[in-house]
Amino acid sequence: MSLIGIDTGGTFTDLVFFDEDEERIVVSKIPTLRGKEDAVFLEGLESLDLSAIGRITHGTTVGTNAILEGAGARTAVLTTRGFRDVLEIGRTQRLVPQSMFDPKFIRPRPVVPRELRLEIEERALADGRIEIQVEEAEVEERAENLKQRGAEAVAICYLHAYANGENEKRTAEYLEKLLPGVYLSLSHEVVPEYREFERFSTAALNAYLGPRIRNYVGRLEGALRERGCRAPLFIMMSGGGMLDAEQAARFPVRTILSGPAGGVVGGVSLAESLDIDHLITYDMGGTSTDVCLIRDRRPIVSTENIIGAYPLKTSQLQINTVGAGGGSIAWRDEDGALHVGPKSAGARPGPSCYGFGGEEPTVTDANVVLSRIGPRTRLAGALELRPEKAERALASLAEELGIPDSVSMARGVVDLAVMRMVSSIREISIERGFDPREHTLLAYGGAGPLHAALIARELSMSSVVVPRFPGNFSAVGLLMADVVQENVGTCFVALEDASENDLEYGFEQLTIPCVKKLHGAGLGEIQNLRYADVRYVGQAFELTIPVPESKGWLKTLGGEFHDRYEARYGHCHRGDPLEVVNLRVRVSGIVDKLKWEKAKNSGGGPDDALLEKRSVVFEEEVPDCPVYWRDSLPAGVEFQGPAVIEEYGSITLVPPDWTARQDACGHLHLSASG
Amino acid sequence: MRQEFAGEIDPITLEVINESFVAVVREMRANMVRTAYSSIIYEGHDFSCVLVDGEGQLVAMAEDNPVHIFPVPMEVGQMLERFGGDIHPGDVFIHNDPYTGGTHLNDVAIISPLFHCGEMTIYPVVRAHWGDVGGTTPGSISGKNTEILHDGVRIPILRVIEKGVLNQGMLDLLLHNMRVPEERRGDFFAMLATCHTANKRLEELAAKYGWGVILAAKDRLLDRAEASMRRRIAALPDGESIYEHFMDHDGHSLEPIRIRVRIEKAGDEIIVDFHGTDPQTKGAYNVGPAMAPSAAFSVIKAFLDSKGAINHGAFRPLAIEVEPGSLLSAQYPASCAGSMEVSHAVVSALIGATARFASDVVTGDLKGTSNHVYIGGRDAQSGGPFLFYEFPAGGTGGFAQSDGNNATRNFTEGDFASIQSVEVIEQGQPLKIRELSLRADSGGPGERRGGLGLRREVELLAESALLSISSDKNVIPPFGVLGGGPGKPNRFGVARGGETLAPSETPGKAAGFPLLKGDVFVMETSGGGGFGDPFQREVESVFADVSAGYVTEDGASEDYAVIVQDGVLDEEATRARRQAARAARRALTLVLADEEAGEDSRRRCYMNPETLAQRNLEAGSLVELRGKWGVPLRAWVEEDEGMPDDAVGLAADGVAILDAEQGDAVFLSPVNV
Repeated sequence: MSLIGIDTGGTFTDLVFFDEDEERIVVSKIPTLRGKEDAVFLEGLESLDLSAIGRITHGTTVGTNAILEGAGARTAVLTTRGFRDVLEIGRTQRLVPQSMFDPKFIRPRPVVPRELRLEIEERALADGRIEIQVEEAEVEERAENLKQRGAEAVAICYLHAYANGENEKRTAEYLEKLLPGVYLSLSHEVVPEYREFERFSTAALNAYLGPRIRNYVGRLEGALRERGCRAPLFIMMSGGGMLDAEQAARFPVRTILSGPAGGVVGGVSLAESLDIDHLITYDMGGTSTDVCLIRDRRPIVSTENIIGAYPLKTSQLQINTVGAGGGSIAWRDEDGALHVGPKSAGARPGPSCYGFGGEEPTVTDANVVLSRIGPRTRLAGALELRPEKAERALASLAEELGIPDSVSMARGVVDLAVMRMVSSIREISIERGFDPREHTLLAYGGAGPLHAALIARELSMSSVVVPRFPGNFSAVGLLMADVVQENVGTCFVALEDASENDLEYGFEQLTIPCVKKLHGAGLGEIQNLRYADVRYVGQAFELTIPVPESKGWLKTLGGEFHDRYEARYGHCHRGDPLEVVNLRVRVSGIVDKLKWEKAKNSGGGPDDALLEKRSVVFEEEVPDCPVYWRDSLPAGVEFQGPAVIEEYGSITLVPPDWTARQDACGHLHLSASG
Repeated sequence: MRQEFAGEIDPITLEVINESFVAVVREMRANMVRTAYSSIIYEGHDFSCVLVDGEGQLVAMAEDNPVHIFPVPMEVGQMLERFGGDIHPGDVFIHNDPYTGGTHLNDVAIISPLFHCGEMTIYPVVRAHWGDVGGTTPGSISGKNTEILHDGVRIPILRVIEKGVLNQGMLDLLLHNMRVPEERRGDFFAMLATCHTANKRLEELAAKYGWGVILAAKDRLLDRAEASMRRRIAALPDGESIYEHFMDHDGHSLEPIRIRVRIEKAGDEIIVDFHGTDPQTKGAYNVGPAMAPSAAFSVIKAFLDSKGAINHGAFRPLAIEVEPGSLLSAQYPASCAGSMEVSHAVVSALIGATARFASDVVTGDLKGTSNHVYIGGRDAQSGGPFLFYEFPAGGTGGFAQSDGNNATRNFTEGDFASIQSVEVIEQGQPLKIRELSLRADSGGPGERRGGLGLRREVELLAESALLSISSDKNVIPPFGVLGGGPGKPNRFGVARGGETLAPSETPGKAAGFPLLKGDVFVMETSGGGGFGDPFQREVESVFADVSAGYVTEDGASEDYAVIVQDGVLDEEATRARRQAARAARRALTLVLADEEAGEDSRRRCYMNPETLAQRNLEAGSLVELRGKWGVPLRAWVEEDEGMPDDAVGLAADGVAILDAEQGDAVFLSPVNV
C-alpha cells in the first residue's frame, strides 16, 4: 500500500507519495490556483495508480480563505429569546490587533447578519434544567422565514446548551424536516463548553463553512472514486489529528489550521525518531512564516483562538504566523524607515530575480545578491534566475535609503526578515516562559533552511534540524497524523467534593462515542489522553491539566494544578479552593505512518556532492564557498561551514561558525561551533 | 554585529534596535501577565510597560493603556527633580500620587533606572492597577469620595530600593494600609521582576551594539517620530479653535461641569490650552496634571497618525496647558477616584476642538465614561458574598466612511472585555441575565449613523443586594458632528413591580441602592454620535437598518424622514417627508449677548418667547447650536424679551466657539434629555 499527502499552500500545492513496500518517498510541487484547489489536487495525482493507494491525507486552506474573504454560505442563527445580538456584541472588544487609536476602525460584522438571527422562546438554566421547552410551531414559523430568506445553513445557538442540549436537538429534528438539505450546526455539538459568545461564534462559523467544505470534500471524493481510488480521504484538522472527509464536513471549523498543522505533526514525529524533547518548528514559505513550540514532544494546543475578529473555541495548535516570507517586499516608508513585508510578490510576478516583471526587492532577491542563492540555482526545481534584476532592485532601494551598495542593502533586508522571525519565536517561547535555548529549531518550507542558522544564532539556539524534503515537509507531516476524535463536557464540581469514580464515569461517557467512531472507521489501536480544566473558585479562566489513567489521580490533581499555575504565572495559592470546569478527551486511532528511508550511499566525504565553489556573502564574503547537492551527500557525512546545500525546493545555509551533519535518514543537523 | 558606532546609524541597525526595544516591552508585558496577583492586571491587562531615557523621555511602548502615556514621563520627571544627582545603580522608585503625575491611586508606578559609566541610559517603568490601595471602600474607587484620603494611600515619589537594598519598613507601611496586603506584595514583586528582566535584556542589547549606538538610535527614533508628527501637523490649516464640553455633574449637585479647550495650530506645532475649565469639584471627578495631556494626545495622535510610533518625539510638537486648581490639575485634598470619567470627557472636548483641523477624520462623540456598575450582596445558596462588576461599552461615533460600531470599546481605550459571559454569571452568581441586545434607535442619526449602545437586563435572584454606578453622559448625550444628531445617553434603571425606579437622584452616579429579589436592573449604554445630515442618509440604508431592527419604523420617520410601514418602504411618502423636513429647517440669526453672570457653569443662549414657542422649546432646556466646523455648542435656553424674532443670543466666547459672527445664520436643535 502507499500513502499520499497533499498540502495546499498559498503559493504551491505540495505532494508527497510514500510507497510502504519499497519504503520510497517521492515529492513534487505544483502552483496553487486560488478557487480551483480541487482541480490542482487532482492534477497532482494524475500520474499515479490510484487503485494501489491506502490513504490520502489533505491539508486544505479552503475554510480559512472562505472566512477571511467573507465567502461562506448564507447563514442563519436560531437563538434564545433576548439574545440575538450576542454574536454581534460579543464582549464589546474589537479583537483586531493594532486597532487602538484608529478613529476609523470598522469592527467586522458577524458572519450572520441581524435579520438572519431569529429568536426562539426557550431557556435552559446553568444546572441543565430546561425552564422553557422549544415548541414545534414556533420553529415552523422561523423555518418559513428562513426559507424565504434563502438560508443555506443554520446554527442553533441556545444558552446553557452545553449543560443540556435537548432543545437544540429538538430544534434540529424539526428543521431537518422543514428545511431539507440545509446545513445544520448545533452549538453544543460543535463546542460542548460554556461561555455563550465563543460557543455561538464557533457554531456560526461552522455553519458558515459547512456547505462549502461539504461540497469541496464531496467533489474530491467523487473524483477519486471515478479514478478508481478506494482509499479513504482524510482531512488534517487544526488540533493536529485528522478526520475522515465526512466528519470533517460536519466540523469544518476545525480545519482552519489544516495547512500549517501538517508540518507541526511532522515535527512531533521527527522529535520522536531523532530523540529530541523540545522543538520549535519554523516554516517559511513565499508569503508568510509559521512557528510553533513543541515541548516534551507535544505541541502546545489552545482552545482560545480568534480568526478575523471571531472567537473560535476549537482545539488548535498554537501556531504564530508572521506576514513575511521569501517573497516579502522590502520598502521605505515616508518617514524613511525600512520595512520587510507584509506585501508579498507571491508567485507572479514573484521576486525580481524570477524575471516575470517584479521590480521590487524581496527577501529572495536579497539572498540572490548575497549569492546565497546562486545564479545557477533552480528554485522549485525549474525556474532560471535573473541575478541582475535582483541586483537592480536592491541597488535602487539602497539609493533611496542612502546605503552605499546593494550587498549592504541585501544583508540589511535579510537581517530585518530574520529579526521578524526571531520576534515571533520569542513570543511563543520566552514570552510564555520557555527558554528557546532548550529547543532545537526545525526549519522547513522553501525559505526556512536558508535563514535557520541566522535565526538560531540570534536566539542562542545551538542546534538546527533541516528534515529531508524541507520544501514539502508540511505534506510529509500529513502522513504522520493519527485519526483524532475529541470530546469535552462542562461539569462544574468543587475539587474537594469531587469523587474520582464520578469523574471517571464522566470521562467514560466522553470517550465511548469517540472510540465507537474510530472502531467504525476500522481502527483497532486506540490511544486515549484525558484532561481536566481546573481553576481557582471565582477566577474566570482555567488551566488544562493532563489526567493519567492510573488510579488515585484525583489526589494529585490539585498539586498538579498549583504547579502548572506557578510555572505560568510565577505564583500560586496552594490553600485556595479549586473547581473542575471541563473534562476533555483526545482519542487517537493509530494508523500507518510514513517511514524515513535509509540513505543508499554512505561513507565518503562531502566532495562527492560538490556542485561548484562560488563567492558567497556571510558576515564577510567567502570567495570559495562550496555548494553541495543535498541528495548526493552521503549518510553520516559531517563538515564545517561555510557551505551552501541545494536541493529540490529549498536551500540550506551553513555559516562559517556552524557544522553540518547528514544523518542516516537524510536529515541535516546544523550545530553552532564552540 | 558588524557595525561600530561612527556617529551615523545605518537604517538597518536602526530598525533592528527599534524592533529590539519593542521586543523588550512585549516581554515585559508577558512577564506582568504571568506574574501579577491582581486579576485586573493578568486578566484585565490594566497596566503599561514602557522604556524611558535618562531625561525621562518615553522611548517605546506597546498596545498599552493610553491613559498611562503622560503619567510615565511626569513621574520620571518627579524622580529627577526630587533625587537629581542622588540616583544610583540598583535604586528603584515607586509613585502613585495623582497631583504629581499619577492617574488614580490604584495605578502604581515602579521606575528602575539603568546606568552605564555613571549615566542613566534607557530603562523600564511599569504602571499597574493594584486591586486595592486602601481608602474608604474595597477596591478603593468610589464615585462618592470627596477627598483623596478616601481614595487610598498616596505615595509621593519614594526610593523603595536603595543600591539594591529593599526599604522593608517603607514597603510594610504602604502594604499595611491596603486590603489583602499579601496580594499587593505579589503585585509589587511582579513589577520589580519585570523591570529586572527588561534591564537584563537592555544590557544584552548593549553588549551587542554598545550604548553609544543604542542611544544614538534612540535619538534617531525620537526625531523620526517628531518629524512625522510635525509633517502631519504642518499639513493642517493654521488657526485657532475653541470647544467646551459638559460633564453631567459631580454626583453631589445636578450642575454640569465645564471642560474648556483651545487649540492653536501654527506651522508644525499645536498648543492645547485648558484654561477656562471649571475649578476642581467637590466630588470624585478630578484628575492630576498628567491625565488631560494623555487624553488630548490620544485624540490628536488618533486623528493625525493613528499607526505611528508613540514616543517622546511625537509629543514635542505639542504644548499642553492645564491650570493648577482646575479639575484637570486638582490640588490636595480633591479626590481623583472618578478620573476615568474626566479623561473620557477630555477626549470628547478634543474631538470637538480638533474638528476644525481634521474634518475628514472627525467622528461622532463616544460614550464618555467607563460605566462602572457594581452589584454586591450575599448568595443564599453558597452563603458567601458575590460581586458583579461590569463596565459596558456603548456605540462609537459615525465617520465619513462608515457608521459607528455597535457596543464596542472606544478607539482611545484598551481592548478589554467590558461585559461578562451570561453563562459564567448565571453559573456563579444569584443573577439571571434576561436580555443582551442592541438598543434600537440609540445611535445618533446621521448620514453615517452612530453605533448602537447595548441593553442588558439583570434580574436579582438573591434576597437583596446593593447597586453602585459611576457613569457620565446620562444627562448630556454624546454629540453628533457635521449635522449628525446625538446618540441616546447612558441610562440605568431598576424595574420593580411594573415601574421603573431611578437608583439615585443624580443620574449615572449611585452608591448602595438596595435591590430586592426579583428586581430587574436595566443598563442601557449610549449610542455614538451621528456624522452628517441624517436626511442625506441613503434611503436604502435607513430601510436596511429598519429591516435589521437597528432603527425602528418610528425612529426612521422621526430621525431620517423615511417612511416604513409594516416592513414596507413608502418611497413617495419618504420623498415628500424629506422635502418638507428640509424646508422646515430654519436658521436663527446670531446676536451677541451680554456675558453671563450665572453662579454655575452652564452656557446660556437667549431667545424671545415667540421664537421659543415657534420652535417648541422651553426655557431651561438643552439645545445645540451648530458651529462652522460642524461640532455643536451645547447651551441651556433662557427667555429674553429683548431678543429680536428668529434670533438667538450668545455671549462673545460662545460665538467664538461657533467660529461665527454676529448676524450669521445658525442652526439650533433641541437635545432631548
